[in-house]
Amino acid sequence: MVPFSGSQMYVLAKISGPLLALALGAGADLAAPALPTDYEVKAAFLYNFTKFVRWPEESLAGPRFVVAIVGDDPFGEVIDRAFLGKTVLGRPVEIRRTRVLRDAAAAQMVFIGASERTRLPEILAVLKGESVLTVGDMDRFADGGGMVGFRMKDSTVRFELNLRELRQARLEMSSQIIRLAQRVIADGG
Amino acid sequence: MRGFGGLTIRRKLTSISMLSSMTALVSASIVFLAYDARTFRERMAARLATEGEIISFNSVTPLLFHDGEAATKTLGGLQAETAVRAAAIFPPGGDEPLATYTRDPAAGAALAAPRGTPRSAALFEADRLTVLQPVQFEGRSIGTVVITADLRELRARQRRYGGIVLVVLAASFLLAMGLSRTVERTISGPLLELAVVANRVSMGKDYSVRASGEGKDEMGVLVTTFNQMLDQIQKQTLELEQARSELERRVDARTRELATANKELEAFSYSVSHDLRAPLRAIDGFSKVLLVNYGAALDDRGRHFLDRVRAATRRMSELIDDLLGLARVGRKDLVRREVDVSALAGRVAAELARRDAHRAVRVEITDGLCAHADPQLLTIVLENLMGNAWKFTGKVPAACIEVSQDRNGARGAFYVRDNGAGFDMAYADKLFGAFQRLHLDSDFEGTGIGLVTVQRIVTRHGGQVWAEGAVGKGATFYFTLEPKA
Repeated sequence: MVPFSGSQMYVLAKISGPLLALALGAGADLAAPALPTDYEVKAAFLYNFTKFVRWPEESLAGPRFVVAIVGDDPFGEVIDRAFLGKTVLGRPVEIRRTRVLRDAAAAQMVFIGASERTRLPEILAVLKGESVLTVGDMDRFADGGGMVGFRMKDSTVRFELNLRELRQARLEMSSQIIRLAQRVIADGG
Repeated sequence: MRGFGGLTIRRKLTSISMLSSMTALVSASIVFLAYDARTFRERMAARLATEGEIISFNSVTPLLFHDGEAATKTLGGLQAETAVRAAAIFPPGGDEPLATYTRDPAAGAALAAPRGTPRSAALFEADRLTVLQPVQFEGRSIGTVVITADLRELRARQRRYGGIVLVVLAASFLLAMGLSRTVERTISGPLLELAVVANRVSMGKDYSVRASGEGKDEMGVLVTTFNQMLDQIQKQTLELEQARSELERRVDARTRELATANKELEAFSYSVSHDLRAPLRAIDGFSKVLLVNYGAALDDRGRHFLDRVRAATRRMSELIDDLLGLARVGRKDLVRREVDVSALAGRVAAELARRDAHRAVRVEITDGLCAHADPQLLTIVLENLMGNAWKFTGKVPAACIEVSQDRNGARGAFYVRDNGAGFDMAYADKLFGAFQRLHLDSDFEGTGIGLVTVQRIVTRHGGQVWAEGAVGKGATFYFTLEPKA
């Protein structure tokens, strides 16, 4: 799969719906300035997830809350803006773009881009046993051992959850989030 | 006057109690309805606020994660609240709701996005209540829940309660009417009875009746006082009655005594007068014989004494005649009929003129004088009064006697007026006394019986006699022949 830039991803998301024919003719009109792009939404989601997940004490030893982006960065500065001036669990947030898996294992949340689909089992194996919330930007991410997988539905951003993986990572997720999930892979299921 | 003042006491009492009870009931009902409406609104607002809070709490993540579906599901909980017509969840500053809910999709009540700073609010409009509940997350507002409820339930409830209130009012009205009628009787009953008794007392002069209905209240006091008053009146009336009958009894007794005494006196004077005649006739007869047969034997001085004896005898005879006349007047039965007073006076005047032909006296008699009286007795009255007038004008040059009737004055009194010697009004009360004479016998001869006779006759007719006059200015004798009207 070819990695996309943010804007390309947006256009694809929009025309995947019933508006396809219309968008082909007048794509420029759809890029209304007030509407957030999918990656702006996803960046906001990443921040919001941190509010509904409880990490074990020992995983929060560092002075910062680290969000690692593994693989191609689809956000650009969007994610920096999303976390700008905000704290998570009282800590300043560090966005760490890396391909080094050990760096990712030290983070509290890892975003795995669509470019890493083939490397996914390898990445997850490294993160196994760590209290790291994994968020994947690819289909069937939760089925493949990830915790939170983004997926599009009716041209809006939704997600799937794997509660078993969350529990094994000793992460607790609020039911408020769980009820929003498109699909939940249940604990023990 | 119409209106409250014109009503009877029963109606007044009933009206007062009805008015006060209905006023109390109506105001209580109004307060109750107003309170119920207020309570209902407050409860509705509180309920919607609670719903709003729950929805707000459950809308945090749908808002954060732009999940319209979950938000719609959250709003779906409002299905249980039948009053809720529509609801929506708005993101901050957005006109497009994240989720909407309508109870009746056909009605499709569009909800306007909230303006300004998000805050909790309950807005009452004509028939709906809108509740705004901001969605808070980590101290900031991330959206607003808007819920609109129908107040038609309130209207229906008010109509229902209004109906109940009307029924209660009507029932209470009838009940209060019956009660006040009953209670009113305890006040108006004794009053009406009092009025009936008072009426009986005033119409029938029956002071023996008594009002019943003693009690400890003011009405009882009134009845008791009223009865005491009747007791007093009855007692006084009885005493008055006794005093009057006692008085009548005494008057009767006195009258009888008086009549007896009068009769005895009359009989006495009659017999005395009658018995006096015999020796008087002897004196007269023998003195006459003495004068005729032995007059020559007497000197002038002797004949003068004998003349004095004969004159005194004549006077005594006249006195006896007058006394007998007076006695007869007292004994004669009174026979009234219509009398031509003018003609009668004319005959008396003619007789006076015949007896004293050398005098020229002008006699004026008003024509058409009539009276309902005993003609014989009235003749005696006129003879006496006109004779007096004739006599007392003997020393005036142009003697004049007037017989007439004072139609304007006191009870149409007849009068005999002369321009003779007159009398002093200071002695007016002595005129009608027996043997009372105001003039010297040497001036005007008389027996002093005439006016007594007149008074006796007038009194027997039920009339009155009185005189007016002044020394040297003549006299007027008035008399009436009918009792006072």
